Amino acid sequence: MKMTTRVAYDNMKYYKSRNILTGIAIILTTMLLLVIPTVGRGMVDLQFAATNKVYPSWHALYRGVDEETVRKLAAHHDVAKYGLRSDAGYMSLGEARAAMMFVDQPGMELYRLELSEGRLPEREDEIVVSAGILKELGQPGGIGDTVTVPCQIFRNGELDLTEEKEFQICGLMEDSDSSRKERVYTALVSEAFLKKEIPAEEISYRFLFQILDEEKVTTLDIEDMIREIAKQFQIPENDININTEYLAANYVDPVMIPAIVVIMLIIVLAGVITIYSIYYVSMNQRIQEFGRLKAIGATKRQIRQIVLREGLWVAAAAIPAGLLTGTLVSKVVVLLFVRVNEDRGGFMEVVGQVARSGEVSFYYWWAYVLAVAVTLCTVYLSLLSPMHKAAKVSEVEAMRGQEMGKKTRSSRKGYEFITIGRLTCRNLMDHKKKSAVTILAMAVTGVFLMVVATVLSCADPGESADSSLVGQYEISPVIEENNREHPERKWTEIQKDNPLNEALKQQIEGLPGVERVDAFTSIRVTGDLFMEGDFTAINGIPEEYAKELEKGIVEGKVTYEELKSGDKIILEQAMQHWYPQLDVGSKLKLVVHDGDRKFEKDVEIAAIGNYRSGLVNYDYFIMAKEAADRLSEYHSESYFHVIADQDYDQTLFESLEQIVKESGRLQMRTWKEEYDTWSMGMAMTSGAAYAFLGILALISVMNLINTMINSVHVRKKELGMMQAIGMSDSQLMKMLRMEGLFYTAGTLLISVGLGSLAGYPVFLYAKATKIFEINSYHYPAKAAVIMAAALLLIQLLLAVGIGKSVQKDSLIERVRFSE
Amino acid sequence: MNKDSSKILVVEDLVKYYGAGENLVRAVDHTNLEIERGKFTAVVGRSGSGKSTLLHLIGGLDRPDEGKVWIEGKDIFALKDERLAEFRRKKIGFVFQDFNLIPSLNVWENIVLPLGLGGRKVKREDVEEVLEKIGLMDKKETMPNALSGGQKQRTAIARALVTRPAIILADEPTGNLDSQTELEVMSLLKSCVADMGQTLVMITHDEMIAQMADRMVEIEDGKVVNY
Amino acid sequence: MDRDRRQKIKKYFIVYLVFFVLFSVFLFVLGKYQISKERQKMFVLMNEHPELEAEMIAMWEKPDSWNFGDIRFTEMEKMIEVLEDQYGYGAKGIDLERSWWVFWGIGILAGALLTAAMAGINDKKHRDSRENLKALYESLEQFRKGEFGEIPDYETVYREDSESWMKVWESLRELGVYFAERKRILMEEENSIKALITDISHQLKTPLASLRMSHEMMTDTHFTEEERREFQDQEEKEIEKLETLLKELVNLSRMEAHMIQIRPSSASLKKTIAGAVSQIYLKARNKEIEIQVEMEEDLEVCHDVKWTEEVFVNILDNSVKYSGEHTTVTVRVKRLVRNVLIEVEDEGIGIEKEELSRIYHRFYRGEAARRMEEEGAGVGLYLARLILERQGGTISAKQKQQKGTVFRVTLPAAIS
Repeated sequence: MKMTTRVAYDNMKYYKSRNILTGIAIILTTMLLLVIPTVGRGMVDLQFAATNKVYPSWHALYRGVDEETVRKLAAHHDVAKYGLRSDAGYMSLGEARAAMMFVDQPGMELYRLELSEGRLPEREDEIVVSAGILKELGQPGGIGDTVTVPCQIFRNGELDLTEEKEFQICGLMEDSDSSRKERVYTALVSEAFLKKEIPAEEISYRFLFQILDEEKVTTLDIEDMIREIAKQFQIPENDININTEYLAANYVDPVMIPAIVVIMLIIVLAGVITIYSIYYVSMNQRIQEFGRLKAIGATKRQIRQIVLREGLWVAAAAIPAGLLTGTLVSKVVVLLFVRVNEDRGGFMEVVGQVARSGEVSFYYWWAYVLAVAVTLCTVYLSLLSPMHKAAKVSEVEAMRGQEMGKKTRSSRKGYEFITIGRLTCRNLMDHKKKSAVTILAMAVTGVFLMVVATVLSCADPGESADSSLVGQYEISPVIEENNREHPERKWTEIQKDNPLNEALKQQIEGLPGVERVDAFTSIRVTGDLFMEGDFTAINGIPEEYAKELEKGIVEGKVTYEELKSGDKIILEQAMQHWYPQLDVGSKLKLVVHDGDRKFEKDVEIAAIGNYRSGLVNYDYFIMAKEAADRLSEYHSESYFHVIADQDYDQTLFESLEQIVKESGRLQMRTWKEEYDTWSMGMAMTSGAAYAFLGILALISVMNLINTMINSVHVRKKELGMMQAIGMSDSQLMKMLRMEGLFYTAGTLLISVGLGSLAGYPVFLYAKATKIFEINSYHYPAKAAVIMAAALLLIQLLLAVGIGKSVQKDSLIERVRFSE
Repeated sequence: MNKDSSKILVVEDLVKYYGAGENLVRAVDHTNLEIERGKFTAVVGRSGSGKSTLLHLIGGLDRPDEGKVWIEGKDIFALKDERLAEFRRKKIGFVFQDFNLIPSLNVWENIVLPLGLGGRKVKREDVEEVLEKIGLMDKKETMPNALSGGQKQRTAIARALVTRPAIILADEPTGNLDSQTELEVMSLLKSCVADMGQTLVMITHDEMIAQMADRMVEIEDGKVVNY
Repeated sequence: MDRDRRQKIKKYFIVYLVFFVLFSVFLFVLGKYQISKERQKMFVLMNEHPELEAEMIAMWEKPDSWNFGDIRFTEMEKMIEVLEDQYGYGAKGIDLERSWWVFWGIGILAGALLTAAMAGINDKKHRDSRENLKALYESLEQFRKGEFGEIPDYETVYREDSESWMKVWESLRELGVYFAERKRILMEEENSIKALITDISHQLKTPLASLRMSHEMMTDTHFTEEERREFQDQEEKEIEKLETLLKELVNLSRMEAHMIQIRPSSASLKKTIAGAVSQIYLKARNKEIEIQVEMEEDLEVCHDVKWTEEVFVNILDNSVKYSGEHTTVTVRVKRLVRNVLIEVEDEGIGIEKEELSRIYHRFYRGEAARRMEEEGAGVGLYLARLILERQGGTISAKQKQQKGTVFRVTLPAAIS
């Protein structure tokens, strides 16, 4: 082995304590570096796998495609797998509904439909049904049996009269839970049947397909492709349905990558700081040795090599350990995460199944390679400075045993009377740099912790729920702009027959526990300002919220009275993200879409405000309700905010749910749902964040341990001598405790002090960007106290531990050290 | 439990071994010694003869395998560690061959250090008196790294004296000094000790130093070969 | 002192802490008990009159919502009358529940125990103090009787907790040791004087015997004139020797008896050395020994001129006595930091290493010296060392590589 390597190896074994600490720091760093990407990727993969099991796998579908276009599309280069569906009609089953449709085999696969028995229909009299349908028909049967089905076929754009037809069952499907509950079923018929019953020119298909995705990786790319193809075949925008969930689940969201990179950088930083300061503190001891090496002929380069190799030897031992622990931890974290979320039902359950089945392996070779590479870089970076310092040692200085680069004073005005406390003080003062480096290194982590804790503390799920919802229950009509099946769900149609009417209001207000119902109006507008097809709405807010409106103004000035005029609006700040040219005083030409009519309206932006999302609900132009109402001929209430006594009342909730269900056109969001979601999300995020921070903190604690051990080691002679002249063991312990206290106090001061100060601007940023719906500032007192307590405990344990080990060396060995 | 009060230090059948089996080193091998109060006793012997070990045992810095040490009639090894430290602080002053001073404290602070450890108050005049005596009054704020070898040892002596211990144990205090500084340090030590009536036990291998003592004791292979 | 007080404060603090905890717990338990009893009453009533449920709960749990001021005084008086007359509840006695009495009893008992404990502790402390004083008194009585040795260890007599008592005891011990030492020194001096007398008489015997012999020889008529003159010369020499010896002995005895005061003062070293050299000069010239003095400038040194000169005379005398003919004796003076170093180097017979420490003993003469024909009582170096040490100086001798010895004398430099 080369001399440098050999020396480095021996050094590593000799300076046990320092290298053990460095080793631990490396282990933790490697572990984190492995865990973060692994867990990230693992979660994503799990979701992919689960999604693949649950969601239909088509990227997009085009509606109303005729047979010729189908053939053309099929021929398109970028269209990979495709399938067809065409709706023949409905079975008339009274209250239940069963659609009769044709779906071809690839379509079945794309839709993730499976037959439980039998095969797809081929002859025109064959049908696939389900147990539920048979029940509704009142005709039990199995494969091969005949059923008589009353059905209404789509002809001329509408459902024709009921005809009785006979079919032979060729296959059976399972009913889903929701099918059974809602009594909405699906039956499959053959293409032959379709062609027989419906005139050729009326048959239109839904074209389901997957994009050829070899080069395209991001969701954006795929969506662009889909639209591109549609344009090429003149398929209108409205007829495109993109399976966004599926895409999102299967293709990488570009936002995630930078986030992970940032986190990894943070870990690297923590690692570098810790390892660097460990070496910094103990470099001084080695001066004599390096001087001697130089004196016997080692070159600067060789000395640098020795230092570097020593570090690498430690890494060589520590990295595998880190990888091992990292692997275990990743697995545990993912399983934990899954377990916690499983009860949310449906999708998460599938995720859980997938996780347990082991279909998705959590061993990504690239993650290991990455972890190893980055850790090695970390070690290298941390050692750069110590390497150079060691090489710069002058032989003569080293022999004389002077401290590296330290300018020592030759005289000092001292104390008249020495106590243990002053001794400690003096010792710390003399090693200002070392102390400073230690404290700063730890404080960096501390500050970071405080800042993150601030953000997490400010995210109160209750407040977030308050932010995202006005009142305790929010009832709104079901609005679907692009549902051909339900054209009555367009807003402009709903306005004509708004389920949110006075009667409903009275009904709700009559329920026990309800204080009042606040109605918000929404007026659909477009304008030349906006992009084609884009629209927003004017939000008519009632007088009860006048104060809130006025308080939230950040620029400009307007009173609620003025907002009643109908010419002035408050612009929600968020709008400026997309339209930065909007400002106070801007005049907008808007086109109001009210029912069937459109008319122009000019408004002026009188002020800009920042409001909770529950108040605004994406309607960014704010006006007084009465002004908005004037703009509409109809009842344009879009939200009923139910203000109740209690945040959640089971009976009230059930009553409201009943109302919503009965109407069939309403939907409800509850405060409790939001709260639960937020708490859950918060809990997990906080949990993960704190765990992460905890490990970072652990890494930097290695620092403290090293400094304290080192300070004792370096002063072994002194301590021995002091004990010889009469310092008792308890006094020694006291001194160590005081030193530790100093480091702790310094770190806490900076961490808590700076951290608290830094937390506020971060909070403001979070508030502006509405992360976690943060609204008000909470000082993370709990985190600060826990951090202080933990640090004090560690330092106390350290002092006791080191003291005990010092005492272990018998006095004489310590004195002997001095001879 | 009382011994003749003129013998301030009595060593009774002291034994200290290091290592085991083949590597057994009898550092102190059934040694007996009596030191008279107020006198300067020189302990002479070649290196490896066990004199340092003996001094350390006498000073309570190490515990023997067998035997007892009586200082002022007290069996020091019957004391627990804390009490022993206290006893050492009050009754014994140490001067080592080198590294006597704390590098981060100046001369004054080094001298008052043992008082501080004992929680005793510092009488300014007393310390100044000692500083005058060792001739370092003008250097009282100087740091050890700016002192010469002789000055360092003088400071160490002052520190050993400041608590007015009954015994001063010195382990080759002039070992690293040139012959003239040596004389100076010795003369200082002798005069201080004579002034305050203290007992001085010094280890040396230098016969020239030893002759300045009132009594010389020889050590050979861990045993006292009395003179 | 300080530590004592700090310990005491700590103790008191702990005691208070314990009390605090206990008291708080006690009250808490009491409170809970009270509440549960009240609630019991409430529940019983509520059961009977569910229609008053809201009011009852309010009354018990939210007493602030009731305005007791509304209840008029006369009505209250009427109720009190009813209580007294009809139900026999007097306004005088306090008819508390039994549980109250129990609690009261516990409290009183606890207080009593605490007081007793404190009294016990105090008493113990006082008892300790008294015992300490008693031990102190007994020791002092012992001193009075002249018994200084037997002072027992602190631990066996006292409790360990009092720093001040410990200090007193330690001082007492040291006092005892000091007195014992004084006593011993006195006895030693007595013995030493006895020894001195014995030594002197012994030393005198030899030359005196020789003198008597010479004298007898002289008066013996059997010898010739010439021979008798020889003996006379011999007598002369012996008398001289006796005189020298006597002088030395007188000095010695005076020094030993502390009759001679060494009074150092700031004086010229050069003069002192010159004085010593001149006293030896003749003797040296007789042996053709050259005395060289190397001294750059004069130095003011703190010394007793007369006696220090005596020291140099002694040393130079030794050097000359034990050096051969045609040799040099060099005197070098060097200024050290706090002292002045005077080296006297000769080229004589030298002193063996083993003998280096013994030369300062009284009446010691080295082997080589004895072999020589020269006379000497062996007192010179002993005296020299005594004188020098009394002045804060030292003397040491070193064997040279070549033949000879270097004597090194230090004296404290003048305090400038």
